[in-house]
Amino acid sequence: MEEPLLQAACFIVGSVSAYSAFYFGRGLGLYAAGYALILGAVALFTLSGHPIVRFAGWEGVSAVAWVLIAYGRGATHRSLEAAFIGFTINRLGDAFWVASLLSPGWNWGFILGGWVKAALFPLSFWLVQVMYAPIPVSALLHSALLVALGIYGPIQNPGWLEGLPLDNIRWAAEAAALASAIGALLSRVPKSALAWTTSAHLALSAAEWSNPPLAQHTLLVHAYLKAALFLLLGLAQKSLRWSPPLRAAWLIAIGFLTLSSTSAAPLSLAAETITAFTLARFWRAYPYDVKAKSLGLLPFPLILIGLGIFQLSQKGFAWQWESLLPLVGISAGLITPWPKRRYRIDAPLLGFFAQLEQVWSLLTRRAQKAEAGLLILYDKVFMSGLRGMRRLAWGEYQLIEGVWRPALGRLRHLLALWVYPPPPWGRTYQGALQWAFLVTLFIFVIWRYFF
Amino acid sequence: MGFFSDPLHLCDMALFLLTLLWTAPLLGAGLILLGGRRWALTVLISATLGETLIWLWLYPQVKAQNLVSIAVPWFSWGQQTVFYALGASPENLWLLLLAILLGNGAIFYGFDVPRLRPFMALMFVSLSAVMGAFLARDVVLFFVFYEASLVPAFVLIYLWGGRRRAEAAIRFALFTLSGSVLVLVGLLLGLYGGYGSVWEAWRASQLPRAVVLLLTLGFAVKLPIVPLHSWLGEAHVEAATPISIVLAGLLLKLGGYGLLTWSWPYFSAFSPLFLIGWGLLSLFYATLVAGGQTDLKRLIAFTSISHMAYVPLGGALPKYGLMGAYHQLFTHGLVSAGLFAWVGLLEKNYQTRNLRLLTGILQTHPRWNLYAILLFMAAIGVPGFGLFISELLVLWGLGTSVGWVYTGLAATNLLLSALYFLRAYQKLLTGGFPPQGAGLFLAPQEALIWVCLLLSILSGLYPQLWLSLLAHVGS
Repeated sequence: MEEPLLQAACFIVGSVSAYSAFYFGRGLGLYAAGYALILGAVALFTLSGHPIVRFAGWEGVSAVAWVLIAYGRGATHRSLEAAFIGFTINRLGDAFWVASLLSPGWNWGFILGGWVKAALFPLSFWLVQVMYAPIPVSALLHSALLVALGIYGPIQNPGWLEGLPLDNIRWAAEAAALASAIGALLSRVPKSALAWTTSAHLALSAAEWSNPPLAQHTLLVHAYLKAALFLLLGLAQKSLRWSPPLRAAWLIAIGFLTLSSTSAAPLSLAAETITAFTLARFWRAYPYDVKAKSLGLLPFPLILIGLGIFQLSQKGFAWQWESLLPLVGISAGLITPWPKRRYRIDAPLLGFFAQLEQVWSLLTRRAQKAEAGLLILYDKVFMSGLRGMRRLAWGEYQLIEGVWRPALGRLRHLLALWVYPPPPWGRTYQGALQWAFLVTLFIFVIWRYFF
Repeated sequence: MGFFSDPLHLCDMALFLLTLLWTAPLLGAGLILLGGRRWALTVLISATLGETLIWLWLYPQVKAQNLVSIAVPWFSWGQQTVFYALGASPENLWLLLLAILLGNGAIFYGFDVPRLRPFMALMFVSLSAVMGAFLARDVVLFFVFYEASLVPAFVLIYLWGGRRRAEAAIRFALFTLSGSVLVLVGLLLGLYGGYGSVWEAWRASQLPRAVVLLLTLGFAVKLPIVPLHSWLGEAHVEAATPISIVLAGLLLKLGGYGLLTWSWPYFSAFSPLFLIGWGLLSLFYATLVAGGQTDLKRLIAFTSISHMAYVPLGGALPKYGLMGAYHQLFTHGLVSAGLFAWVGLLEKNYQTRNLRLLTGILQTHPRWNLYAILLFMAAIGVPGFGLFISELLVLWGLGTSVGWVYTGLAATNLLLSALYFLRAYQKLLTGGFPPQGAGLFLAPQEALIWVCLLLSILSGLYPQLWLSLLAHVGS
């Protein structure tokens, strides 16, 4: 079965694995296992027709991503926090997604779940946070192995969009793309800026959901070229220099990435132009050094660029005047300096997330109080039961000691009086013995006579 | 299968082997009192192997004919006859395996407790009662075994517990005996109402609402469902770890099995929305309480309540929901037992279970870190582990039966369970100065963690092994 996203994922994992072998000095085993598992999860998602297996793939990529992000830099507090945010926000999307998957007829969950998974604005903040992961891991997650699944679901299954207002979704996606592009523009950290551009490009793909072949085409081109961009950025970061071949490769990649955009809608065009401008401005993020060496690992991103160009050529390029605008953006970006100050347009959302966690803590504290109260209540109920039993026991004691025991004593006394009445001759030892003998004789005679 | 019309004498064999399945632990309880530690270990291994072999004999038979059962009249009064009826069916086959593995595994795990032989004897008696309750196909016989399982558990908590063990044991006894009284009254009402006590007759009956309500409340104490759960936290915290393993892995499942099998077989007395609402309340409340815990055992206890809420959720639904509920009993048994076994070893090394005091301990112990990751992922319900399949089946049942709102609400717990487990993991992995423990050596008890993990992974990767049988539940 031909599955374009899975094919792209295989190529990207291959290149990134080879790149990682040189990039990481040690601990390659963890990455190799993680890459294999995440590829397996994508295969489950794309190849299976069974809803539960698809969900296993959908969730599986998040779980493996958690491991890769958490351990990417040696399980520090910061990397674990980044992995936590990524995983939990994705799970929120999963809840929507699974609600739609398992409830035929309600398709909003696919869109909301996909929106979270693809990190489209305003739910893009988790993707920027997980930028703490190492470059090769980011290259995978940003291309075809995590975020792309959010867009690919409705592309592979157009039925998921039935009954939904596609025009409104398109408009929302374009607006999200523009917001993400602005986020990229205002970002000072190179990796964060690149993450924002991923969000913008994926939103542009989502805007084409109503035309699945086109959306798939842009998604795949983006996957190859974005992976390549990450790997190139990794090389630049490693030496903190742009070497000439790196810069050339970067320019080629962003050029073709820009050409993959087809929409002439004003919002899309604005988003694409700002994104192109931001990507071109990366040239100024690090100093240019003609003597810098990076040729050793360069073939891997070049392979991905080649694959991206091949993917782009599959559909052909229809020239339109609007396409000039992003190219102008690239030209402007190349000569614009890298920003000195940082603005995070998603800061309110991050704050909101932190607030949510505080609310969660508050609720857990309240729940603990409620639990303690419940325990006391039960103890009271049981203790009142026990007290009642104790009272009953006391009553029983009173009955025995106050009524039955005296009554029995009196009865015994009467019986004794009846059996041994005081003899007329007085209570002497011999008299009693004689009386007892007579009574016993009487009983014996009666017994012999009657029985 | 007719009892006297069986040319191959399979029925006689079934009578013998099914009886042996619950009497073997009793026999073991008697035998271990005759020798020392080595003898006790031999008896334990022999009992485990014997029971496993019987289970392996049962599996193909149940797969082929859905039921291996025997029924012998036990006693009668008036028109009512109570049978000594035992059976293995899709409903209980996997729970029997769970009982064999966890019951004997917990005894092995507790091999270093003081006063070993009485401990082992009581654990064997408890296992015998649990096995009997799972096997019983007569409601009176079930109740006898169900009640019998309480006594050894009470004594075990009382004698081998922590500092406040007496309080915990008494609370456990008060709660569970109250539940048992409700079950008994419900059962007697049913029997005096003229409903047959054997499996087929009981389950085919349209039981009156009062009977279903009493049975449901009684079993809900044992499962437990909020707000009848308050005994569980203390019991787990104060009980020794092997007892916690049996408590979470088996005794709780007995409540769930009772609900699904004897209380709600053809549930029509109440609206499913009532049960779903009750399940959701239990799910979220227990999740919230778990979120604020610093004691690892208490955390796992409340996550157990939260996960067990999928049983009423699934039990209220036809087909997939019911399959998911039965599957959940098995998979959660494995996960909770594995988690308790892991915490028990941590406690043994560091003399504490407090998350605030255990910060950073996993940094220097990769093997323990691996257990933590795998067990937490299994408990979160990540794909590849059995709990994922169980919860998805229940969610699927909800989606197809009552709509996306309930599915979405229940699915939110996917996020919440991730919250508290990942936060706990972060605390264990980073920050602080790890306390000086005796050194995390390779303990034989770790075998139990591996068994739980491997079975959990098997049931997650190849669920068909379970689902092919569970597809017949309720039929």
